[in-house]
Amino acid sequence: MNGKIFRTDTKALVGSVIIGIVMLIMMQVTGRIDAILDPTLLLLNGTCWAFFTGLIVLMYRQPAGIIAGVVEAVVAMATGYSPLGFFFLFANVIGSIVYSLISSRFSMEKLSHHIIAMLGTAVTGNLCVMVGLIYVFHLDWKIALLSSSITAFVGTIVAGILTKSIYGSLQKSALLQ
Amino acid sequence: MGLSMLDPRTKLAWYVLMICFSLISGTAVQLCVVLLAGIMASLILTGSLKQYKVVILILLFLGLQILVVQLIFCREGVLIYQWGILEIYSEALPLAITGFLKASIIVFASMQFFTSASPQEFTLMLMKFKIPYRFSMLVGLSVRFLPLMKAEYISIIDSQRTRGLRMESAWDNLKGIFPTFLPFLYRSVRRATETALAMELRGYGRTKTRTFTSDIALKSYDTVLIFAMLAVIIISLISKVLPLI
Repeated sequence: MNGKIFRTDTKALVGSVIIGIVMLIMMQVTGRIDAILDPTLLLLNGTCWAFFTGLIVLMYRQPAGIIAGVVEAVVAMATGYSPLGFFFLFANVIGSIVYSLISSRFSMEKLSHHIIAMLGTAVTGNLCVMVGLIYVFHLDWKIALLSSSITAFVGTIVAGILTKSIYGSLQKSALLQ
Repeated sequence: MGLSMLDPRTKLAWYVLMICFSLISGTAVQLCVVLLAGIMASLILTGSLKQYKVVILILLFLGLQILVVQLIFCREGVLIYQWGILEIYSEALPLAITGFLKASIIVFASMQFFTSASPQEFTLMLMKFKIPYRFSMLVGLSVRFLPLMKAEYISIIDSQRTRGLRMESAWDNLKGIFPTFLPFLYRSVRRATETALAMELRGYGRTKTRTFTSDIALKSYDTVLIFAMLAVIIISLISKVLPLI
């Protein structure tokens, strides 16, 4: 990506909204699976969030990443999908900006670049969610930190690999041109 | 006075006030008062609470989740029950109740705000905040595309089912994410490209400004309400922060 952070053409703006809706739908699907398999950790949901945050920034850069994040958080709040929706707003925006800042320093051709960028995103985003867990769910800060750390760790590895592979296949398919 | 009489900015101030109170209120009684105030406001302005019927089930499920989490992880108060590694403390239930009330207020206030105005009103509100129309108009686009994209995802799931993909249990759904998600993503990217092209051909983004068929303006009661709510927020925050200094 080397240095390019902003892109404000119509394709990027419309793409941010549409991929933001895709993100929302996939977050709801993974959220429901998580509610059955791991209700306190939300590993799938966290991974899905990190993956989309990274993918949107790579595809459409900023402000598309922020717009997609806001669309996801606002619809999550409006539909009552999650009481942490208000904190998702900050997590999505800050996570997206961090991904942009880190990825702009790398070529994003190696897996390590994706993992490093994803680490920054997952840590900052999960910190925001951690604040939500403490303030809304009244979880003890140590438990909230443990839960957020596990989600951030899994999200960094899995979403990093997924972003590289799917972004690569999107580039090869010429859909991004 | 009906809900449609109020400016979206007044509704935004009310939303901020509710979120602020839900986060700074510490006791169950305070939170109950805030929730009741929100419900009363909705009842007075719209005359019905029908739209919140769906959310009650979601909130009950959420309350159950919070209760389970608190029963497992809470370590405040005195130990009242122990079974193996499971220890239940006396503060688990009060904390679960306040957590549930906070979550309920946030969900309720969010639904109240985002369903209180049309996409065009939100667009105009963003324009009043000096956000360029190319960005403000994306509100309408997202509202328009949400049901379309949902229908598209369901049609992809149906297509994959007819090809033999099992989607019955949670494990099946987990395994079915990739076969359904990837076509959905690729189709969405293509749709974004086509929609952007169609919008540009219709003149979107050609000029720096554009006109709208309607406009919003703050009336005197809107101004009074906004200032009153902002004053309440500032006083509450100051009274919360001052004892800490």
